[in-house]
Amino acid sequence: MRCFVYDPVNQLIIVGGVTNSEDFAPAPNDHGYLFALDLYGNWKWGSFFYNVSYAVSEIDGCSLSSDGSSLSLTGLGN
Amino acid sequence: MDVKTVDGTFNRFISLDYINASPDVVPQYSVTGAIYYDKRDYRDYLPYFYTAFLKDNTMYLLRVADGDQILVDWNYQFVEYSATEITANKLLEKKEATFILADPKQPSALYLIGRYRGLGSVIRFNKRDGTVRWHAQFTKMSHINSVSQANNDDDIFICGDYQPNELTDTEPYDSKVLYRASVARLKDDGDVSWIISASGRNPLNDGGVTYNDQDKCMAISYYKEKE
Repeated sequence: MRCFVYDPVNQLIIVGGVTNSEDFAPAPNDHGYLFALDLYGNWKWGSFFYNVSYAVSEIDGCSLSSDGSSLSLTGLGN
Repeated sequence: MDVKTVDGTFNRFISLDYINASPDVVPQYSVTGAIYYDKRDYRDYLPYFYTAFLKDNTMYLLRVADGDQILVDWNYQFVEYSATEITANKLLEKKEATFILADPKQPSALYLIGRYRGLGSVIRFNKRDGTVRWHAQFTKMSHINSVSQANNDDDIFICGDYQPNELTDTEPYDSKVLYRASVARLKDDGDVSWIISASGRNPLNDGGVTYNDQDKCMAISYYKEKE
């Protein structure tokens, strides 16, 4: 886990990072992932990334944008 | 990347690469988290991404103008040390760009927080052109793992770890390497109000081998009560 942020506007906990588990991604190589839970722990949205969507092999950090309306992420594509 | 927090869909996806990259010149990138998206610049009201990363073990700080035409607005390369200097002090080549933070009171400045010259570092720089206003470095904090600020406040709280024997520790680091947790408070002029160090006193014991204390501060949150 390399990204952990609370979005006060939508009251979501957003988590991101890298996984190489076949349980969470289609193959055992690095895939970036990002998901959001509400304050009761319910899944709201989330995904892993690979080359048929966005080529993101790692998410390495995040921060809310200056007005708090979106989440900016940095990572690697491979 | 920039995503809508409400549903995770992408607003923007920007890929950066070295302009002279080719099949024969393949840069190696290391990204450790420094990203900030300013949606309305204080001078020209345009949106800019600020980020920092390592390319081939050299650190770069840059600003990307986000508009109809995406372009790198400015870009700085950090000073590298010579092989002779690094042989004398291997910590000089240790660097990480971990956070970029807004100054809650001064819209013209940002903080680049991470590690430079082997020391935990906080660099305050101008958004306009990336020039450095000041650079604070911590001799007793090797990595900065978390930061916290309050609205309309002068202070930054940082926490991380200190590896006092890093010069002689052998990589890859194992459970015998000593770490101490560190927490510090500094003001927006770079003055460090205080720094504390903490260690546990219950190291593990495995087959007669006593492991070292490995205390790291991984998260900090500062809440300023209403006065």
